[in-house]
Amino acid sequence: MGASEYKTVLETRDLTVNFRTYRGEVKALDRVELSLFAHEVLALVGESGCGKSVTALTILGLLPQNAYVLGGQILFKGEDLLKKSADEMRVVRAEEIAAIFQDPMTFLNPVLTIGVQVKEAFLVQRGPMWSGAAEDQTESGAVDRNIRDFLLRKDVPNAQNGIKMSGGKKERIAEELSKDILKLVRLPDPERILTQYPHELSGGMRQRCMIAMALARRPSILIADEITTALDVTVQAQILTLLKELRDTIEESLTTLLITHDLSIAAETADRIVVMYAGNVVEVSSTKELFRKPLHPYTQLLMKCIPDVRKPVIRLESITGSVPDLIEPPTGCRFHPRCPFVMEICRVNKPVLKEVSDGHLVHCHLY
Amino acid sequence: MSEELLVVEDLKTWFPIKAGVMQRTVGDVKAVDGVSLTVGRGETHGLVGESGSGKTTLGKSALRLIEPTAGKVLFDGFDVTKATKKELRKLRRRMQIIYQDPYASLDPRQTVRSLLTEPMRTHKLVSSRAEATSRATELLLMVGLNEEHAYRFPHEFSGGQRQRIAVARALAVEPEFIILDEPTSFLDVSVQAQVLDLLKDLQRNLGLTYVFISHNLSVVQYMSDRVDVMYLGKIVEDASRDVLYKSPEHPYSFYLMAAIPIPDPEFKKVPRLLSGDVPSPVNVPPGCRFHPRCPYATEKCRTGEVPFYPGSSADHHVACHYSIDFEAGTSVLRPDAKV
Amino acid sequence: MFAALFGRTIDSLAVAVLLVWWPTYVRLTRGQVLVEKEKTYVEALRALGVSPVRTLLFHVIPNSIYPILVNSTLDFGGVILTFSALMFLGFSPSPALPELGNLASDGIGHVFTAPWLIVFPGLTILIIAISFNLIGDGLRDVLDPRLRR
Repeated sequence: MGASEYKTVLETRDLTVNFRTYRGEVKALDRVELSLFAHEVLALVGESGCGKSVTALTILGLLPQNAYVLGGQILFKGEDLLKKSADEMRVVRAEEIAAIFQDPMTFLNPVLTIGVQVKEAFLVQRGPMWSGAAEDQTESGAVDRNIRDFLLRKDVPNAQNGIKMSGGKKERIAEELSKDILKLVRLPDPERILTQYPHELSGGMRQRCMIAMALARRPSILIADEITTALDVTVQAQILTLLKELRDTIEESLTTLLITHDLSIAAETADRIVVMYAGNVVEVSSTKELFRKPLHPYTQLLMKCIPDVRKPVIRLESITGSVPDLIEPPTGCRFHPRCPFVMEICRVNKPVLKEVSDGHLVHCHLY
Repeated sequence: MSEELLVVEDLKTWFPIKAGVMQRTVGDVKAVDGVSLTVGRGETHGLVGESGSGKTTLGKSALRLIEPTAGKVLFDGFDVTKATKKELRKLRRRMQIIYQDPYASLDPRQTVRSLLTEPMRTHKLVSSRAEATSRATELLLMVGLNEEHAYRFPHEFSGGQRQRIAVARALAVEPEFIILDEPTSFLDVSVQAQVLDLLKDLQRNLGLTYVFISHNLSVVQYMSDRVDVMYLGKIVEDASRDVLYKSPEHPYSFYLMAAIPIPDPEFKKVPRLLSGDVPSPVNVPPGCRFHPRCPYATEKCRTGEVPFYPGSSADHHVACHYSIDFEAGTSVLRPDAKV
Repeated sequence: MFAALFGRTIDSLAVAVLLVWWPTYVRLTRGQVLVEKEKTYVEALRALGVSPVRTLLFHVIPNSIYPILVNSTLDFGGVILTFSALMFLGFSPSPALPELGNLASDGIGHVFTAPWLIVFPGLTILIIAISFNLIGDGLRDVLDPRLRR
């Protein structure tokens, strides 16, 4: 299973992002290299301040005002996303890369019903979708409502440019599709939910609505940023299972970037894991390989910190020190002040992300 | 000096829901609805549950930070629920609490020194400024910080350090008993380990008794000796830690354990998902509160209170009318079932 | 009305403005205290056994006054403007008083022949108001430890 066999859907190279704060410049991302392979679930794992959310925001073009990209590229479908204008990025977010975040309440409009919001996700899509739907009409005028087919049908030929669908018809199609997509995310009683407001739903249900709305745009990439952190553990289990189910069902067209601070979630849900620390990618590997043989000292220590329910221990190990201040990050390797294997070179030179074995990369002078 | 430091008897904490122009009470949020438990001196008693379970309300009610609606709380034999303001003040020295959010539990305008010395002066534990300061330094060292940290403000510290300050502050009054309300939920994994180990060390060195409240089952397992599982205001299972984690007997406990993510990709977990969402204590189902989501529920579960039945090991209580074989997926009505 | 009752002195004007402005502060303070009171650290102090009176005086109120402080610096500009407006409208105790509004009202008659008579007082009022605004912003940024995360 060589890395080269996989098609890369998105790739960041040398991505460097700083934030301007009145205390100084925060060097949030330091030459981050990330590759997303088609159809996989890639987990971006790290603790607070490591830059995982910043990476997602940079890809989406949603960085706040005080952030700026110092350098690097984000290659997607042959183009550099960083070179796109704000309007172009909006289209990308609407149709290609969808994102779901931790708190659904801040992303759902509290005064609109779920129905209106989910339908909107369908209605904002441009041309091809509606032409494609028009093509599906049988002689009697019925529309193909199979949602899986809908989701899989990515490149609908934009042949029927001339066909303009009436608003009413669009509404009806969107309504049916909305019901179907809510069923896909396993929401019980979709008809009723379409009439409800966000605050009437529980946290888990809101998160499912967010997933539905994201999928409705038929994205090639789904970014899920800490989507289960605010949820109870039984609900979290449901959502993670749903994500895995979706990956298997929509395999053809969906790649998921799962951002989490919880290695256990990554272990259960992801195919590959990228470990980040203080703005750097420190290790990349397939999930199985990472747990069998973690190479980077940070990864090794992190694994020892997590209590495993199956094997209770007397004492948890911890990592001495704390996450560095990124305004004045440590010289050389940013992990060196806390590293049990620190060498002279670590203080002076930054390591390079090197492939140690097939598909397993490490950012460390030990290798 | 009794062996049972904290005894909770049928505690109920209800919050009235007021509606309408006249603000009449139309119902109650039954956050804690009849809970009884015992915490032995020197032990760590874990309290697990999801949101709406009432675990935090239970902890705060035991300390009378929230006034209970009914029931009794005995601390070292002394009735906390009936204590006068003066008696309560004295009790506060012996029972403390550490909060979940280290960013909110410290007054942002106070220096660490002031934070630590204020409780000392309130309870007249020190007689001079110098004594207060030296004691504050002692406390800082005890929690792994240093002397110069005393002159800084909370916002200058990281989450983990702030929790240490909160612990130091609680220790300033020399308590015997501390309620830890999700003390590490807001902290990074690596910092969590540090704080948990600190808590364990302090317990051993100072002979403290803890009630550890958390929704994180792995952490509760690491810290606790006994564990109670709460659901919608009631305890559904009470057992020693090892028994609960190896062989839970209440269906809710079982599904809770099954939901914990395992840090091992090779481990083939049988997907056991609980359907439905975590309910809110506003609309409490009749009978066994868990019955709407329970795959083993029967007619008998829909009415009447569910008492504690003995579990298969000593000192194990399960609030379920049935004995369930989770592997086989079968259930048998208990012979002494009160239905 | 006040001026009519108590005569047109500068003091009566001051008292009048004061009477109109202070309810805002009371409302603000009450609002802030209500918010502050619910915060976790307040409950923590209760758990520690600190008396409610002490908590209110030494913790809640100091933490509540920041937004009010900021607001008050903004109001400095507003008060000056109000004073000037009142003077301008004719409530001036004496035409010779070197107050900005007074000067402006004098100048208005001569706006075409001697525009500087109104322009400069007007500009000064504007600059003063903006300065207080900026001071308020700066004060808030510097003084409020909570905002410095």
